[in-house]
Amino acid sequence: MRALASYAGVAIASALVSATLVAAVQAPTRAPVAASPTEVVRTDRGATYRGVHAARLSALEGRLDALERSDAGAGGVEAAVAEAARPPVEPERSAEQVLSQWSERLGAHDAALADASWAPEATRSFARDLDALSVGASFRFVEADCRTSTCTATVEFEDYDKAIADFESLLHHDYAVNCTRQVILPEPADPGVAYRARVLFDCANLRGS
Amino acid sequence: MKRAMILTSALAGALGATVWLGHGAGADTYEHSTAYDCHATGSAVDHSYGVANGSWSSDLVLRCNAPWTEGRFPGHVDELVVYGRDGSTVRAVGAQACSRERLVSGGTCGPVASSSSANVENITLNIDNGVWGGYNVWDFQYTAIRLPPIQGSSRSSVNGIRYHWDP
Repeated sequence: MRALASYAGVAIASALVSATLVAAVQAPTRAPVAASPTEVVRTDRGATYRGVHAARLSALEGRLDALERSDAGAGGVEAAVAEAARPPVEPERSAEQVLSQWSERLGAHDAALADASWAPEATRSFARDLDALSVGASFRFVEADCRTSTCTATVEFEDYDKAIADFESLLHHDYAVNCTRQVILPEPADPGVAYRARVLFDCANLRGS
Repeated sequence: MKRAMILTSALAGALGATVWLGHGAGADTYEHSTAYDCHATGSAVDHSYGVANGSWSSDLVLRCNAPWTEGRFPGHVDELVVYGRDGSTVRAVGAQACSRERLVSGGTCGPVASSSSANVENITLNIDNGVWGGYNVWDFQYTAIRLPPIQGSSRSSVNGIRYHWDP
């Protein structure tokens, strides 16, 4: 009788511990199904238990494993906080959106007024640089044009394939007017003919705008 | 062609052995220094501490992939630094952050950061990486480094790149 009472006490205590862990952890995985009082249970951690305790201990171990794996753990909380602080990932732009934005930028440049205190000299500078860069290159320089805080340069490649192969030389050159530079090459109707590309220079870093 | 391939392999091995500084860092930052994945257009020569331009007449352009194009995505790169040597008395070493479009032909590069003094043993170029945007994982982001040709007996070289961002 005393043994039975003791047995029941242990079982109740075990159940309380188990319930407390469940509330604290909110483990995402289910505990193992309870075993019969005489069943022998081998847990994932390699221990062997018998009877009612076996089921509860096995359940506790299952929840401990879940806690260790869970994002609710200490490392998981830190990772979640860091993740929340990150800027959101921008959805990928479609090719049409990239080309549309490129047209808008060129349009904004074409619509801007030329700043007489800066644009003429900047235009001459880009013309000098691109003239020199075109020597021995697969393109010829056509024209440069600066406005308020942006410039464009037009170059002509032999064909579209040459443009694709060599446009990065226009991006990597060390221009005297040192701005952010962009080249986008929309596909032409006829890739076999001479291809004119525009380089857009955004000189906001120099113009303070 | 075969010779070029061997040189490329040797170069990659040397860079891996000499330039990788490992990563590590403080409680809330992550640092990464590497010159892996630098692809050379020009006459690259292996160096005891990096890669140098072996040409007497042409620039060497290195394209070094940003490390997150291989699966790690930083929120914001607050520091991009290239370390090297400016061996030229005529031209500067230059480096810039670039991004190549994935779905169309084209790309964007930031301003060039250039070495200010000629023939300097150790140079540090702090690069404006604004063109990489806040968190754009879609395009191909890289650092372009231009090394001038040999002047006299001095070669210009790049020893490593340092990326620093908050995780």
